[in-house]
Amino acid sequence: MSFGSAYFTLPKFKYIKPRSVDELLNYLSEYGSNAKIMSGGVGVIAFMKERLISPDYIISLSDIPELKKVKNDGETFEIGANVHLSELEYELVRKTVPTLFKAVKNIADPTIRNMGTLVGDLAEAIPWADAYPALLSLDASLEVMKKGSSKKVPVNGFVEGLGQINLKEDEFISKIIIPVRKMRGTYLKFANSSEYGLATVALTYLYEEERFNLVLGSITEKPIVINNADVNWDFKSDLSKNIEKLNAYIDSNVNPVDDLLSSSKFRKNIIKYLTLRAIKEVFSYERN
Amino acid sequence: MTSNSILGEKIPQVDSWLKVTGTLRYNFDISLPDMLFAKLVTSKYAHAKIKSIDFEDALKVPGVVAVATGKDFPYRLGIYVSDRDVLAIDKVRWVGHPVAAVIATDIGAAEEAVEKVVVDYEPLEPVLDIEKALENDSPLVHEHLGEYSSFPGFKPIPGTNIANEFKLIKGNVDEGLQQSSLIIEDTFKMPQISHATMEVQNTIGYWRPDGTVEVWSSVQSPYATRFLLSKSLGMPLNKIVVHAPPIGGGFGLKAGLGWEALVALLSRKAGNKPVKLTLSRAEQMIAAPSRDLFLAKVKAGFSKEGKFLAYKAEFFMDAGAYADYTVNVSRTSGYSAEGAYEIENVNVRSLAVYTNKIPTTAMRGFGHPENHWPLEQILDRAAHELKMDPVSIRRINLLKPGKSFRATGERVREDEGDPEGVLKTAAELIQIEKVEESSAPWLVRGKGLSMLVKAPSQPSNAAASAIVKLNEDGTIDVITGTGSMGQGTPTGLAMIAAKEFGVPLENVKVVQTEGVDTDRNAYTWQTVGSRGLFSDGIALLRAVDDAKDQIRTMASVVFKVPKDDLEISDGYVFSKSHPWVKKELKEFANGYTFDDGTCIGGPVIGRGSYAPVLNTFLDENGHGSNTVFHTFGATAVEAEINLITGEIKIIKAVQVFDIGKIINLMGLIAQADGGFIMGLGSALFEEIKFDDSGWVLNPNLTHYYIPRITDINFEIKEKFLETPQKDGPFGARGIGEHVMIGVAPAIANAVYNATGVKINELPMNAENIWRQIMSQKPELFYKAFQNFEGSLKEVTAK
Repeated sequence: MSFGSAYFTLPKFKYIKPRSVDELLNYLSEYGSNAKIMSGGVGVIAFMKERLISPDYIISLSDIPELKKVKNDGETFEIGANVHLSELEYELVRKTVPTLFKAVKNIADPTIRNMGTLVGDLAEAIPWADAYPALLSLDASLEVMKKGSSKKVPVNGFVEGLGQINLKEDEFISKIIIPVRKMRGTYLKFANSSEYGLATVALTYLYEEERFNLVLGSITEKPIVINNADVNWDFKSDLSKNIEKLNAYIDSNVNPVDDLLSSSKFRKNIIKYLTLRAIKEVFSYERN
Repeated sequence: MTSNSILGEKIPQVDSWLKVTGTLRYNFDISLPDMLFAKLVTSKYAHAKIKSIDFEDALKVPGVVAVATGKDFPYRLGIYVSDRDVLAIDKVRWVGHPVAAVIATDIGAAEEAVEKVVVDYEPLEPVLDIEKALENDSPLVHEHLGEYSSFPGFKPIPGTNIANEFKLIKGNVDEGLQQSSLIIEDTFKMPQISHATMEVQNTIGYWRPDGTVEVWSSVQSPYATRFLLSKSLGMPLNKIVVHAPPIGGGFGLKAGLGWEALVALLSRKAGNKPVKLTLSRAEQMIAAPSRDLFLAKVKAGFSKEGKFLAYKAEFFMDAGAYADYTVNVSRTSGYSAEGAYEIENVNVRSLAVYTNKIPTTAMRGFGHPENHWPLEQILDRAAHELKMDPVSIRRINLLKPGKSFRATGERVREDEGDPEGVLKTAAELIQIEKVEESSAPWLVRGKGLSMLVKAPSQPSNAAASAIVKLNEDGTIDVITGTGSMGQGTPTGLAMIAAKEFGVPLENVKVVQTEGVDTDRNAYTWQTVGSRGLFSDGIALLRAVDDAKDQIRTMASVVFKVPKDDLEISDGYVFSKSHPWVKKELKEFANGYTFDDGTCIGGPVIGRGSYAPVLNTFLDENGHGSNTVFHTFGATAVEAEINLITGEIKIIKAVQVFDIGKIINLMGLIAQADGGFIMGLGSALFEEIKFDDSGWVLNPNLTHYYIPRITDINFEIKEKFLETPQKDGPFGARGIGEHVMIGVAPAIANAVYNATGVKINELPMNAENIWRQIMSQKPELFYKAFQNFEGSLKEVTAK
């Protein structure tokens, strides 16, 4: 959590601006242990000002055109590492991956979204951040590259805890990959005397496959993923019966933390409220 | 004569262009040749002895010029009680207490060196709770309280943590309570909050080789800063110059003395080079003052007809480590505790109490947001118990101009305003009687209203002065001492001068728009207390009269008519009896020159002075006459409360004030709206949070939340009454602080009227409201949740 900084200056570092992914991977293999990757700097610069990190090298993504791409080929929706959040705020994104669109709208404010990236929001690994719960609900994957190789890993498990991510020093996330399917989705955030949400809900409903992912964020160190099977959701039966099962599941399995943002009790109340709101919103659409 | 009707128009602030184009020069923008940079080493303990400070390694950092510690500067600072040190001497009193300062050629070096200063502490038991601070065996925050000097009327109590005790006594409160048929008794609380000015404090000090001191600082009141510097450093006033460029928000934080003594002394230590200190936001919220935490234990008695018979109150202000200004905030909350009402029996004891927390200082409203918080809720609770409405109970208890006396014994002037009209207008605009439907069954709507009244809290001799110069081309320069911090006083003064000379507004320049300095501007006591337009305005009108008299003296000779036949308007001086005999004012600017080259008179410079009339100190019972004007107002809201989450959403807000005379309508509306929004922040969101060892948990604007534009999605209706005050400029009174006083109690009353849930503590954020619903009326929550779940049944999964 950010406690504010007494510093005006940044720790000393060297600034590297590669022009291709290959060049970037070379630098990473050489300096990875002492380097941080930066796009808009929303996280990196703030953390450096607070002296939470002091990398010797900052590797900028700004001169690598291929990391700037958003691609939708009907199979997958891909977001490059240097795509700024505000570049995701348009109709195609809302239609294709509505949960993500709504999560992005909830991140910080328009000026910060002009600088920050989705990959950055994910990689900061702040439990109150918005990208991770939304991507979990969408079954997203990450393309992880290092010198000489590239792999696709599920986003689930990427964040291991506050500031802890499952990424080696010489690796970087080149893009986020979301499978394109027929879906409805929403993202709800509840904040109280803070910029960060004390509880968030990402809900993605794949209506043709009759399954959903409900992700409860900001209430524990890592988001909680609940899918229809977990709660024995019966798509043929009454919504009220299903909600009963879901509420019972949350009552016995979800134990929110106490922290500066909220007490555990209040969080539990809010997460149930948000969950029901999300269900109301997502399940009340007419199917196209 | 359009210029004559300028008063009451909507006029953009005179510095608007400079501000929106980024060309107004703030202190932040000022850099002097050879300027050095300072950085603070601050305490990690709330209360500890300083055993040693080792800064040898810090001195080795390239660029570091010197390191100063408390022992270097054995001076005491403070406006009402000189309880502050320049840097901690012998012990630290809060987490964030500046212990040492590093001076370097660049800020990076200073930051690096600060980490190399090693302070060895011996922790002492901290005093973090105001009630514990008052216990007999509490550790003392100030062991030598008796040795501090204090302003007349302030009484720190040696051997305790009490920085000041004030009493206000009228009638016999115990008898009044006995006679009451309804007694409301409760405890109310407000947390410490930040001024959250957009511009953080920043100061340049220059101890020049000739022994004179010059400072450039983000201060509201340069003359007060100069006076306090002089007193603290034992240096003559005329050897100190204080420059006060326009500031990016003051709200009381920048009144009095800030960091000026420290940077001046650092400059001396650094070999007479200028030194600049700029706080980061986190330092601002840890090392610098905030608003007090307030605790009120009150007992109010009413007759069955709703007459307010007795008010017994104990106010405790958690002043933090230094009470400097807060002793007067505490005293003020005491003497004005009765608000807008005439109460037969009053007994108020108001204490400012030291703890090992952030020091506190003045903030917009100065004790009134505090004392209105319990008072205005008590009235709604009494109304409910007595089956009256919130308006009637207020109406029968309101002070009556020309008839009532305050508990201090002060007359309520005939022309003080129209409190009943204010109340009626606010009630009508919010439609207080009308019940509104909520938009869903788990939401409820309520309306709440708060009256308010405030006078400047100032010494009985808080004076002001003004100078008016007529230039060769007929333009006019106005010089007063009020600082420019976005409050709009320079624009108001420009409008007054334009009206008086009958010249277009653009022909008037108010010099302090771009900064005040104590060598060149006219004196005014302080830029605080909503006093600027009133005090400087009167001085300005007198200066205008003086300038006009000089012009008429010359014109009388030139026109060969008696002086009293001459009038000045529309940029001309003319004969009333022979109006075609006239000349433009500019012809008299530097004296009048006849056709043959001879001249009379000289440059026109008008001077005007003002000091409060018949103001006195308050005696040991709090009696006296200590105000120059009171502005009455009312704030009302319609709010929607979510019974499941505790969220409060404002639907509509109403701001009504009797300001005597509208000078600049645009500025007035901006104050009414801006003040509501600032009040909304402190009502719903703001709280400086401390952990058990006194650390601030949220020294940033992420977790210390102030309203964003997205939080202001409702209508604010403003209405201004104009009951002129005979001695005000055109009848005008001040408004700058009043606009936020009633916001929190009005919202709390709306919650109470909608739900019956009593809200005693701020902030009214969602979790706190939810907790109160759950502890006072859990059935509301359960019913609401049921209704909400019920709404889902309409939805079928398709």
